[in-house]
Amino acid sequence: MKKGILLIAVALLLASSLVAVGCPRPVLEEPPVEPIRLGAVNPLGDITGRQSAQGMKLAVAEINAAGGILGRPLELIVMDDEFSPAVGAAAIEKLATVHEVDIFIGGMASGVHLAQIPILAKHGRVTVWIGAASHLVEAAIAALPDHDWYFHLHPWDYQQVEGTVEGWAAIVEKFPQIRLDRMFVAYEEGAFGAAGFAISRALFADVTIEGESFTSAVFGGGDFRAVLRHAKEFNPDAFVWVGFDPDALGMMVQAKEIGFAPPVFLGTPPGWPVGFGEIPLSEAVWLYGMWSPELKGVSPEAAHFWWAFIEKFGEEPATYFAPLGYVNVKFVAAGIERAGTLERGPLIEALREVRFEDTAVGWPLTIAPSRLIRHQGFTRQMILQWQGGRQEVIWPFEVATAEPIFPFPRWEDR
Amino acid sequence: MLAKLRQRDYQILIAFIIVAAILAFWRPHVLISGLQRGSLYVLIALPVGIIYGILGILNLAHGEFMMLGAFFAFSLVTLTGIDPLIAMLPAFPAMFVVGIVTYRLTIKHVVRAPLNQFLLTFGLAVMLTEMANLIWTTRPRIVWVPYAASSATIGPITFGTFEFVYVAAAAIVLVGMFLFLTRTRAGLAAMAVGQNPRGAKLVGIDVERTYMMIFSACLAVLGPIGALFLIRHAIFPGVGGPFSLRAVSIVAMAGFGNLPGILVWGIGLGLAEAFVRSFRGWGGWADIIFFGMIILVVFYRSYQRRVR
Amino acid sequence: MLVVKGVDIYYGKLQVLWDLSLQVGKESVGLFGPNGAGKTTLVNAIVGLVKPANGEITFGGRSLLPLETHRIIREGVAVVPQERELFPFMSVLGNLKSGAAYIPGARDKIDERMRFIFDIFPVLKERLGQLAVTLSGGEQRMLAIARSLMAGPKLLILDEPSSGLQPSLVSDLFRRMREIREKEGVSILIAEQNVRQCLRAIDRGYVIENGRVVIEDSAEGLAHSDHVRRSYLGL
Repeated sequence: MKKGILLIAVALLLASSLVAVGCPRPVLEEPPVEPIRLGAVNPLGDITGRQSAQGMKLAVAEINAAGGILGRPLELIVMDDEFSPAVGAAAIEKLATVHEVDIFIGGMASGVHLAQIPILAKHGRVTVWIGAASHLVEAAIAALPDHDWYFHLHPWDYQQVEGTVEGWAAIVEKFPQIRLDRMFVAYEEGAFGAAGFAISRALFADVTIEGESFTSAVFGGGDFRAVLRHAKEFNPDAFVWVGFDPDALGMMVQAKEIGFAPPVFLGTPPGWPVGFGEIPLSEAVWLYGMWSPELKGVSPEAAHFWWAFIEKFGEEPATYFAPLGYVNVKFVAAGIERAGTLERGPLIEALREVRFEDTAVGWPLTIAPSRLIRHQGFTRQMILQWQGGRQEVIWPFEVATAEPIFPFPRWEDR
Repeated sequence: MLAKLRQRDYQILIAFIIVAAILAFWRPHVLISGLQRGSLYVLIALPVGIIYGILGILNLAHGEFMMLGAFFAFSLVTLTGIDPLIAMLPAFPAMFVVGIVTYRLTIKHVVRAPLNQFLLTFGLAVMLTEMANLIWTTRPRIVWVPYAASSATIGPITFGTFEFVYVAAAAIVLVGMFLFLTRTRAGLAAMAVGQNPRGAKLVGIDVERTYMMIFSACLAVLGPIGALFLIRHAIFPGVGGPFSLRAVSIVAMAGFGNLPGILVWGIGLGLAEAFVRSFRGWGGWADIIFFGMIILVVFYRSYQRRVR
Repeated sequence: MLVVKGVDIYYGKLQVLWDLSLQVGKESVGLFGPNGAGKTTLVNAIVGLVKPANGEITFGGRSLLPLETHRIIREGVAVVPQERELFPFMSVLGNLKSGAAYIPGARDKIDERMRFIFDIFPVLKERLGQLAVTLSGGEQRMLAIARSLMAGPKLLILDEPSSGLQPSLVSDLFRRMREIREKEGVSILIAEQNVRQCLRAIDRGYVIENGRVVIEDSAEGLAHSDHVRRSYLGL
């Protein structure tokens, strides 16, 4: 009995000393460095919001691997706005008060952002937003007593259309066989489509434009045959449809069905369905975009981003919000680095001066006033064309990846 | 449910034929598009009508089940590379199983309990949509087969021909259902249950099993219908909702228990929508036409009742 | 041979039948009692539409309690409920056929059975193509009885067959009941309020009051019972 107790005691002693030797010793360390906090609000349930956050994370990881900014690491906190204005606004409040972020970034939907603006204004922290294209948002920002703290990187809707007017003028000049005198615009009957049509009408002033609305497949429509027939009767130089991703396939299939093949067939949805490029009907369809995967062939920044994203996340960037999220963080970091401080005044000054010759979205980035606000970044969209399943950049010519296919090949030839 | 055609039905049929003839000469595209799309509505509405007639349940989630069928076909097509038309075959038993599971878990508890049914089937619709969201996300999916855009030209008119498959399918389903209900013992049992479930029990019909089989069969047809839908439409979790709405409206307009009426009103709705769309600038009204039609029919019927 | 033994039935918390026992052999048996006494409840229990809390119900030695209604029907028990429960939008022919179509063994004998039915209820032959809902009350009652006979049951239960019928038709009805018993040899159980007329069609009877059997006797015995004479025969 006594021997047993002795044995157990020795065993316990041995075990505890082993544990003590194995345990890491508490070392006197310096107090942890306070990170720079970036707060982002994205629609995480949607691929654009999700990949935008991923792009941001990639940039944060690269910057931190290189030592951070001003000797401090970046910390990114992303919250979901669920496409809801109320949820998006609450997320801003929470980031400001609970997480105490230094700078607000991210975003996507205009409707959500409108609800966030009052909260952002209340806190007055530097905000570099990559979402919201609606001119209504621009007006809301401009209506604030002071909006110096606000930077907007995404082109406004009117800027996008101005860009396309500029782009088409350049294309028509460089490729004289392409004409743009008569245009038929089919637009989805909601706010998105109607706004697109109104702006087009205003800006394409010398062009004869006819328009007709349709119900998008998103809302139970998807039957465009009547609209396409009217377009065919109009005999346009260019047919444009303004709708959503689910409308893309139907547009092409039904156009083929009724034998409608205008010289220029242009679609302007916010995104395209997976696998659209593989369909033979997609060949030579024109589209607008802020970015194309093909830019990796002509822009070093775009190429770097493309491969780094795939390596980190195991998936390809699918929408321009992926590189835009990346640029969002890089821009903010460059500004902080340049200012040497997070203090509002100097930081705003510094951000205003940041210039990128090349970015992951393929455009150079400078800050200049837009129609109503002081700090606007990107102002243009590219004009692209589906060729062989790829989105080739046609304009701007500086980053063009292919020449246009014109006219739209006949259906029988596909 | 399949009472002999009354005089009024013949009148409606004649009116139908006259309208079709007029359209054929004046606006032939309306006739073609309307017929094709209307047949799709009929395909989805017929099972809703049967479920109502026999179980007394108005299934508000039918479009969502079709969406499920379409996603099933999509998964099959992308995983194995088979043609979506072939995917129709396994889609039937797959959706049949879905029907049995749904029935046993949920429907059987609300048969012939009108108020709870609405909540239940509405809840099912929401649940199915959210489930699909989780599995497949909101990104639209497409499949491409060359024949989806096949077309033909007659004189000055070029039109799509694939969607005539919908017309054929609707005819097949309608005739098939009619034969099933009037010529097979299981079908006659189902009709008996629909007319008087208590009486059906008393003649030895297993009413519970009949409910389950009919419900599951009506869901099963949505498998092949989903595959057909997939060929022409981008699919996403919310794609079924508008069709649920139209299906229920068509069944309501036909008058509950009137199967041939579903054919008439379904095609009628398709034609009305196509007709409105054919006028430049009126396109937006096309998709709420069904709503206007319901209101008209409801007013007309209540007026008739008052007159009597 | 139907044996009901010691059956208690509750509707929710309310007890409606207490320790009820009866039997039906190769005979016609009457079940009498005022409204609400529990006659219909008992009929529903035999046929499986209501399950007793205690007790036993056997038919031909086999317990009916675990069976669903359609299975009980297939055991050879037929029921004509008070509401008739016909298929309103089916023809007379369709209703008749449905009586046998779902019973294995009876399906092949439909033509034979129909001849027997027309013998007892010739009016149905005239109305063969009409929808059930267009028949008069008495004709519907006859159709319901005929339908239940189509399966060639061993036991036929009728719940208030004379209710809603013109007096002239009532004695006619009970005469046919006797005829069926003689020609078919099927056991019959009739739950009735109209005791006077029914006594002529039965061999034995039970009187149920407030959920309990108070009298059990032969038809003759019941006819001479003071209680029965006072309460049910108006004498």
